[in-house]
Amino acid sequence: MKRLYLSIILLALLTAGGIRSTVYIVRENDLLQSLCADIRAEALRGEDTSDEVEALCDEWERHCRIMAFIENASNLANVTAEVARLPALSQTNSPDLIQQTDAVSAQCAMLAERQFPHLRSVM
Amino acid sequence: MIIVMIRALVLYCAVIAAVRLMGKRQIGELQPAELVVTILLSNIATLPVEDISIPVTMGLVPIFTLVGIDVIVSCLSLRFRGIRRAVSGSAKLIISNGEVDRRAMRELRFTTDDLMAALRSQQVFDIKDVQFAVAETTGTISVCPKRSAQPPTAEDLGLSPEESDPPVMVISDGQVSSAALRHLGLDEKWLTKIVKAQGCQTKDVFIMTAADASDYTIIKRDDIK
Repeated sequence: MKRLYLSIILLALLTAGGIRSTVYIVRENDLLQSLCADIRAEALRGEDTSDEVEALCDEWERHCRIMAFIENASNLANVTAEVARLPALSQTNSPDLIQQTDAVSAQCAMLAERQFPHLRSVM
Repeated sequence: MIIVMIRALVLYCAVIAAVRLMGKRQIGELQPAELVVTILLSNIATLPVEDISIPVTMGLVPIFTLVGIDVIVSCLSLRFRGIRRAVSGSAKLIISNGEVDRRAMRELRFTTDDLMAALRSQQVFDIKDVQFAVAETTGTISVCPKRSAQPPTAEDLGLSPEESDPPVMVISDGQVSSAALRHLGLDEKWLTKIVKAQGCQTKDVFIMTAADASDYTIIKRDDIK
């Protein structure tokens, strides 16, 4: 009986952890997407994007540390490398900033999508 | 490299915990579902050790999910016969009343060589000596020889020997087992007295087994050459 209770508790904890991680990823992806949208909008208006870029870099760093527990390290490293290019592009007001921001946005969306239990990802 | 070592240690502990959680049945003969879990566990555990880009969590989560499901399914199997039959299958009679059931053997994809090997492993070398044989869900064959092929029992000889439990290990390499003493209804006082009578102390005893207060065997360390 002790084993049964332990297994039920374990499975309940794993299910709760799984749901919580999915909710966290969706919420965090929304935040990253909105930061990317802000950078894009400001860049299109020709305004200073350094604050938004810094906020995006900080947010990604924090998110990446948590994601390292559930996502393949090489996938995270790819996004980190893309995010690391943003401050330099922002400081030089480079026209590539929008393209780079879109790339980061798409990669973050893909990471979140990978963790979401769609039928195609489960099968 | 240190990461791989730490990961191996973490997964070693996790697999030990998982196998302990599955229980003693897992270590002995495996039911089909347990065999599947064991194969999957060994495969899953190696992935995060070999590839450090895979998080250890991705090894731990499936291990404990599989073991959790296995324990719950085996508990449900205890209660519900239908689940037990679906998960483990059922034992099949292959020899009944001395006759081989060829249909059952075909169903089990059991060749005559397999049958003879299984009988030999049960110390039965002539098929005509078998009254009854069953293919268990674990894949082993249980054999019941004909009465004429069985050695006579005490009952057959009209004897009524006294029933007693086999001896238990009371001292192992100088270490006293309190559980064994409790099982025999004895205490440390009795043990000290017995050991002293042999002219030694408990730490000088290599093995001591006892069935009751008067039936015991002591092997001292000095006796080992």
